[in-house]
Amino acid sequence: MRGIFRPCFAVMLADIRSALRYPGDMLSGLSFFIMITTLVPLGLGSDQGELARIAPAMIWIAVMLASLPQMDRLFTRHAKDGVLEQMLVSPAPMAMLMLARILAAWVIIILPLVLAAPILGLMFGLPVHMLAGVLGFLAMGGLCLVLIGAMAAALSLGSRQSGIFTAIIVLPLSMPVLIFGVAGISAIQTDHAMAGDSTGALIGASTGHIMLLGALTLVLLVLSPPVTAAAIRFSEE
Amino acid sequence: MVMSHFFNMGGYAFYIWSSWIIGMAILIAITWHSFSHARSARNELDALEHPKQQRDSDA
Amino acid sequence: MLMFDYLANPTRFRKITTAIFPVAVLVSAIALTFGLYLAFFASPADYQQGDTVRIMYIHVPAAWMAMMCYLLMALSAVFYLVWRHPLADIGARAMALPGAGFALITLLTGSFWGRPMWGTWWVWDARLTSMLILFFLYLGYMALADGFERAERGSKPASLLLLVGVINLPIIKFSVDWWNTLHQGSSVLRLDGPSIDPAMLKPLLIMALAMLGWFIAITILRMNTLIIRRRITNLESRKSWS
Repeated sequence: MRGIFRPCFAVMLADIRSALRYPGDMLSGLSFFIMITTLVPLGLGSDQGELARIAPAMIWIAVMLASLPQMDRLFTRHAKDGVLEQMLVSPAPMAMLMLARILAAWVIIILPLVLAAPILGLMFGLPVHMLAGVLGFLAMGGLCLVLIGAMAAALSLGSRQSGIFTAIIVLPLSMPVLIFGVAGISAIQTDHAMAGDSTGALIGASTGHIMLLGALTLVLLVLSPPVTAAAIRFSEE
Repeated sequence: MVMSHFFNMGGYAFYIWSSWIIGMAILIAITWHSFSHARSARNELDALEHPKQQRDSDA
Repeated sequence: MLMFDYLANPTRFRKITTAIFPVAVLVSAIALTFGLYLAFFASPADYQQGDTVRIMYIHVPAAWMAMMCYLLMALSAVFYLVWRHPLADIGARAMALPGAGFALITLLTGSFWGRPMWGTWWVWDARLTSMLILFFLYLGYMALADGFERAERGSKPASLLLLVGVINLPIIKFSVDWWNTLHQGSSVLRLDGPSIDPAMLKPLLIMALAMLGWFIAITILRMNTLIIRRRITNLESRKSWS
């Protein structure tokens, strides 16, 4: 077993380390995320009730849009310098290596956004006791987004305009993530309204949503790494 | 009278005729696209397989 | 599988399809004539929808075809990825544009039906949204299949995308259904409410037959075109080598 996991950890660490070497890339996604969430209230008006109502949807859409350009580039550099080829010929199963890359991508692309989300949530008038729930939903839904994005990036690897294709492929597939994610955060809001006090972040209706999102995450965890691996193999043939 | 009644479609003429015309237009457009591509592909293949004839027809 | 092996021979494929093609065209033409007559003359106006029910005779068959076509493409993708037969890939590619056309027809005619019946051109109803996503999946497939310098390079990723789409479609459908119940209030009136009158079912089925015939004929035509295109690229590459 250790024989399988060691190269995976190595891939993950290498990815994260190389991302940390160029923090500008990470910051570009973050700044895009902040920009979207800043522009919306400026366009919509500063009504606190209205902003709190649309906050879940807004944060989700901002996460999706901000992560999309970075997912495009998930494999391009390594396709050029031959790392993917090396991975294919290595004895470790490709799907596992891809899973490691996806988890690393989650750390690099999604985690900064998830960490920034509570601050933006506060600016949108979300109550403090909701923030833990928001973090949980974003972290899990963000994993779904990376799983989908990796598939799309691998499928369109080497095509003429991979950016557009990734977007066309990602958007329909990530719709359930958006629906469950937004509904989940909204449900936390109503749960708190129902309970009246601020005890417990995830009770009532939101539990159902987090389970649905969890089910979706599991499906994608099984589906995405082999599909990504197969698509990479096609691109290197 | 009867004709105009028919075309009026109980007051929904615009919606009903628009949807049928658009639907048929899409089908016809795809048909035309498929036939024109089929023709151009066949011509190109002919030109490759019988290069001489092609030159004759060009002249 | 057996059928595929049998059809695998290109000359045999050509022979069979040239035999089927005129039959499909004829069936389609006759069914269309008959269907138009039934749809506009020999069927009553609905007591609730009035004459707008006549939009259904193009809308519903197109929706059936759009879904069937996607399933057929996904099936071809399985054949292609498992048995690596180029004909399966050619079939999926040939079906993509007609399928996208059916999805588009469904969306547009549905819009023209929704305007007088629901009072809006578009509602974010579960069915409408699923059809829109299906249309996007068609576009994504076509973009990916034709998105590479070398035409055949797109075949495998695009087939894989079809399979991912087929796994995702039920999830999308479920999520949208579920989302729709959360945002109640849009879909008050639906076709599947009252049981359908046989006088209305008949034009529906006949129009579906007309579209099926058209679809088969167009698919055959497009498949043959793609086969010719592959031969052209083969000949050209051979020429550049010699």
